[in-house]
Formats: sequence, C-alpha cells, structure tokens
Amino acid sequence: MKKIWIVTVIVIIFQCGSVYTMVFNKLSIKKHGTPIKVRVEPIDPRSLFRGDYVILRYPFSSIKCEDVGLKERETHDLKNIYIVLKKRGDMWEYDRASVSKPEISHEEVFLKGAVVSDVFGYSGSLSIKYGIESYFVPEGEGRELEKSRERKNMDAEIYVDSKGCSLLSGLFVKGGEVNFGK
Amino acid sequence: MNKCPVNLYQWTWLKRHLEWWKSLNIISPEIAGKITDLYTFEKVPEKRQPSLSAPVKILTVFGSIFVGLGIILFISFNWKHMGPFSKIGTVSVLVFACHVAAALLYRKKYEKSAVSLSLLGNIIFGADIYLVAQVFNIISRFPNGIFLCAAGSALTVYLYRSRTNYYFTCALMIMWVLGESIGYKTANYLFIPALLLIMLPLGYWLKSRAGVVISLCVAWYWMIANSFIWVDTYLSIVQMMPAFLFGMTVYLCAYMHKDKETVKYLEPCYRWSGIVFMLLSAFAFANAGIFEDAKYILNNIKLPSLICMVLLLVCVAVLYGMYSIRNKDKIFIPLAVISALLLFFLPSMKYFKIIAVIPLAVLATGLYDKTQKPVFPILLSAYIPFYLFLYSIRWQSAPGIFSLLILAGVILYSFNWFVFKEGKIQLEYVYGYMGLGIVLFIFYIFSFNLEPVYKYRDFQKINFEFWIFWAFLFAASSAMVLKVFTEKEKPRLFEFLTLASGIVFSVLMALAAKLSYFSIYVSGISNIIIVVLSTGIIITGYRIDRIGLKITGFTFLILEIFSRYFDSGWDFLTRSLMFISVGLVLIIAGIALEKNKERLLIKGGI
Repeated sequence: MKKIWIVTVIVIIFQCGSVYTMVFNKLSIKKHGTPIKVRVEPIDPRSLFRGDYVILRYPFSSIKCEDVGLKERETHDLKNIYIVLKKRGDMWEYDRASVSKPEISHEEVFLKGAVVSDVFGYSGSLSIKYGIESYFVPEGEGRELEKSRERKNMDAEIYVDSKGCSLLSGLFVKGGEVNFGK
Repeated sequence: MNKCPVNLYQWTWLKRHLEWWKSLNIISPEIAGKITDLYTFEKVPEKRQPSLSAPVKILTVFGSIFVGLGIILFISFNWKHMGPFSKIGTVSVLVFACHVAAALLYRKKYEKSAVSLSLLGNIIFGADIYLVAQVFNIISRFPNGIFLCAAGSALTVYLYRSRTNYYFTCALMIMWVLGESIGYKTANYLFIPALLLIMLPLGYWLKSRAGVVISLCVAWYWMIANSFIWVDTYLSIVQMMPAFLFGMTVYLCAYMHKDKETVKYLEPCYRWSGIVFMLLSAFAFANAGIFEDAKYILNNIKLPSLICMVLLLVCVAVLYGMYSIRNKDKIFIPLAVISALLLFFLPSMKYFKIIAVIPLAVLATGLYDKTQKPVFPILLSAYIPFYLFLYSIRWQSAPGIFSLLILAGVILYSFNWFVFKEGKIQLEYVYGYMGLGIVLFIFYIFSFNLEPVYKYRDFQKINFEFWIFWAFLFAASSAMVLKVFTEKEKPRLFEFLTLASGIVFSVLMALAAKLSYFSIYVSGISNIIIVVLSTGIIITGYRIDRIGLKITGFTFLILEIFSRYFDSGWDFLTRSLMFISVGLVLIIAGIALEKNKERLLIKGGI
C-alpha cells in the first residue's frame, strides 16, 4: 500500500510539475523578453470545446525558399528557421531569414520558427510556425472578430527572448487593445 | 467413457463435416453416430463466472470521460470570469483530488472505481496542458503536449496495472505520432524509446493483445512517415520498402512467441499484423511506384533509410535463421525476401505494379502449402479487389466509391461464411464483423447531410470502367449473399437485412453518383436503417450469444445517438453541466455497484 502512495505522489508531481514548468517558461519570456508589435491578420476562427481561438497569420508566416538561399527541393531537411525583424517606427517588420542563429543589431530581434510542411508533399514556399499563431477568445467572439472590418488593421504584441522564443501577449486595433472581457 | 466437450462452433463444424463425409461414402451413418457420441455439446456453454466488473468499468470510465469533458466546457463557458491562474489552479487541484481519491478508493479495494478516477485525473491533466496553451496563446508543437499527457498517463498504468489507462495512453501516443509526422518534418526519434519503454512493455505486462497490436501499428506508421522524411518524397518504392520489411519482421516475430508458453497468446497478433502490414505496403508499391528509375533512387536515397532497410533485412535473416528453419519453413520466406529485393533493385521497370503481387503470391502459396489453411490465398485474392477499389478513388465520386465499398463489405461478410464452413472459425471475426462493420459504416456516413460537400466536388467523373467494375461486384455480392443465406441452418435475419439493404443502397448510391445530386432524404433513410439494423443486430447478438454482434450493434447505435445529439441538441443544452452531472451519476453508480457487488450477486441468486 505504501507503493500506491509513493507512485501517486510521483504522478501528481509529474503532472502538476510539467504544467507549471510550461507556465514558468512562458512567464519568463514575458519577464525577460522584448515586447514588439507586428502586423497580423486573423484568418480562421475555430470553435473547439474550450471556446474559440483565432488563427493569426503574420507577414513572415510564409517565406520563399530563396530567402534562406535554398532551392525548393533543398529545404526538405530544414526543421528550424530564424526570422530577423527590424524596428520601423512603432512596428517591427520582416527583414531577413536564415537557417542558423543570426547576428543582430540593437534595433533587431529574431524569432525561431519551425518549418511546417506535410511530410507527404512539397509546397512552393516555406510555411513557418512560431507558436504564436493562435489567440484564444471567449466562445462566439472569434467569428465576430473575423467578420470585423478592422481585421485588416490589426497588430499583435509579442514578447521575444534572446533565444528567439516568443509569446503572444495581445491584439491591438488602431493602437487600442482588443478587449475580449478577459 | 468420458465425452469430450466441444463448443458451438466445433459442434457445428463436426456435424457439417460428418454429413459431408457420409455423402461421399467415406464413413457410414453408424460410424458417424459413434463419432458424434465421442463429443458432448451440452457441457460446453460453461456458466461464466458471475461478475459485475464490466458494468462497473463501463459506468465509471464513461462517467470519468463525461466529467472531464464537462470541466473543460465549464472553464470555457466561464472564460470571462476566471483569471489565468484561477483556471490553471482549478484544474490542477482537480488533478490532485482525482489521483488522491483514486489512491484512497484503491486502498479500500474499489479497484475499478479507482482506475476510473485516475483516468479522470489523466484527462484533466491533458485539459490542463491545453489550458496553458490557451492562457498563453500558444498552440505550437501541440504533439509535445500530447506526449506529455501520455507519459503522465503511463505512470498510472503502472500504478494500478490498468488496461483502461493503458488504452488511453496508446490513443494519446497515436495522436502524438500522427501529429508529429503530419504537422512537422521531424523524424521523431523519441518514439523509439516511447515504444520500447512504454507501449510494448506495458502491453506485455498487462497481457494486452490489443495494446501490442496498437503498438505495432503505430510503429509501422512511424516507419512509413519517416521514410518520407528520409527519402525524397516521390520515391514511393523506397519509402514503402522499410514498411514492407517491417511487416515481414513482425510476421517472423510470431515464431519467437510460438515457442514460449508465457507469450504464446501474442503469436496471432504478430502473425496477422505482419501480414496486414505486408499487404498494405505492397499495395503502396503497386499504386505509385511506376515512374521511379534506379539512378534517381540511388542519387536521392539517404543514409537513415538505407540503414533502416539493411537492419530490417538483417532482422529478417536472423529471425528466419532462428525460427523458420526450426519450423521446416524452407520455401516461402527466402522467396518472399528475394521478391522484396527484386522490388527494390528493379524500380525502373515499367508497369511493375504486377510485381508487387509476387511476394504476396509467394507468401500466400508458401503459407497454404505449409498450413493447408485457405486464409492466405483468400487474403491474396482480397488484395486484388482492394487494390482495384482504391484505384477507383481516382474516379472522384464519393457515392460511387461508397457504393463499391458497401459491396466489398458484403463480399467480405460472405467470405466469412465460406471460410466458416471450412472450419476456420476464428476467421469469422476477420471477415464477418469487418464486412458487417463496413456496410453499417457507410450507412452511418450517409446519415449525415452531405449535400454541402457535394457542391464543392465534381462527382461526374464516372466512366465506363467504373460501371463494369461495379456490375461485377454487384453480381458477386448478390450471388454470395443469396448463397450464404440459403445455406445457413438458422438464417440470422438482421445480418441478412443489413447486407441486403446494403446491396439495395449501393444501387441508389451508384445512380446518385450519375445524377449529380444526392438528396437530403438519403440521410433520413440512412438514420432509420442504422437504428433498426443496429438494434436488430444487438438483439440477435444476445439471442445467439455472439459478442462480436453485440459490440458491432452497440457501436453503431451509440455512434448514431451521439451524432444526432451533436447535430440537434448541441446548442440548446448547457453542455458543461450536462456532461458533469451525467458523468458524476455514472461514476457514483459505478462505485455503488462495486461496493455492493457481492450482495447483489447473492441477491440475484448467482
């Protein structure tokens, strides 16, 4: 019977611990990272059990193979990619991309992205995920957001740390944060 | 003289064969009577050990799933009013509470209820991971979250020696492997330790045939997915080669289990999985490996793929050496290996689709010679219509394809009867329930309103080739069903009705494919058919005590009820409270049942 309690404690520590590790990882990005604003477009609201979330598409969500100096078929093994964003006014814009960790100036940040592609087929360009493509909203509001006229004028606030890890913090329209009643 | 007890199947087989031998004048009626006297059928239906474990398990497991879903929905509904940490905190407290309550129940010997609560804890743990993704607006690398949940769940498998948690873990592992391979280009080498340290050992430890088969299937899929990463995308022949060899290795692993008493029960799992893997891989060779030439392959193949193939070949050779020779198995394996190698080294050969059948034919013939079991030639013969059916997908007509599939299901069921007649009783499960399941599944698909789907697809590409193939299958299935049901001693009405309505429906579907629209009435008719037939199959299952029929009927009836509930009542009911309350009622009922099990069994006079 003692074994039951020992293993139960291990299970609880593992399950709760792994969740809190994820939480603290993300909080550390927010604490130590640089906040930047980039242009974004909500493209596809989905309704799951847990409410709606809006799929966000960034100007650098898809880049051409030539941008990283590779031909289409040479990108087959490419797993990660680094995108350099440069500050222009209040906004940060895509500047360049590389397959290795880039050297950056103080007016630049870099994001680490995973090259996403169906292993069963090729596409013309590289589709990249940074882990900041979804924004969760209360049920029913995702569709409203997608229909909104302001969807073309939307910005996202992102925290980026020195390793290129990112965290989506909020959505803005004309400088004001979109309030979802959180 | 003691009579030998036999079961229903053996009794039926014996009687049928005695009649046959008498008709051929091999034995006289007196000898037939003496042989019959050696066996007794009355003793066979041994009274099953009275047990309430199944209802307890069903109640508590479904209860846990409902409560888990309800909690996720509850947080979703109250999203606005809860802060990020209160959401995660609430769920974490629930994880803690579930596991502690499970341990307490386990100490009090309510083992099944304890397992269900630990399952609930695992489900909520999964929900917790997704909540973190939700709170921090991340969804990247979602497969990692699933793997984390699977690892947490595996610990509870060990804790309670629980099959329920093991199957939950297996389901998560499948989702993880699929997610990694479809969404990302990683080879996912973490799967190898996950397979060797979690899935397979736990399957052996729990003596779970299903678990071992699931593990093998996931490993086979992983092999294919990785082949696409290791090798250039268009080289299907090279990509499917490891998958084919993996199938062969799995098949040969059956020999390793055959000799050892402790793992003997796993032999059919390896044997059948291996055969299916080989068949499906060979199909993939045949379907797409036309335009590859040897030079192109050699220029594009990568080291991991070569290593993988060489290792698999070594495995095949070693296993063959160790086990096949001992079993005097000298014909089919070397020939199959040679055929497989030919497939690899002759990729430039045009129209080599036909070659893909060679290893299968060799395997089938060799196995038939060795075992005298017709199943292998039947499997080979099943491969050809299977291939033709998949080829028909190119005709781009959903009703047309489903029409063919429903006929294939009917034919499969009929195969079952002919094999059953030959005394290959175990094959009833392979063909019979698979065939019946396919027919019901097509009805289930058409129970949805598919009209919106049709608007976006061109279903008019039906050519002459399709109609010839369809007419052939239609004639074959009709003839076989008639033959089966005129030969049966006690025709099972609802099985016959299912197959007959399948044939009628196939005509409707084939016509609808030609007619450019498929009316909404079809979904109404399909709903009625599926309710009537699945209910009838359940009743038949209880009447003749066939677990396969009961499972088939219940599966489709429950699917139908849930589907229609989600169609119509989803937006009108308070989902979270409904799920939580139904789930809690089920769990409490399960615990109460387990608590009063002995008293109920005595009261019931069992």
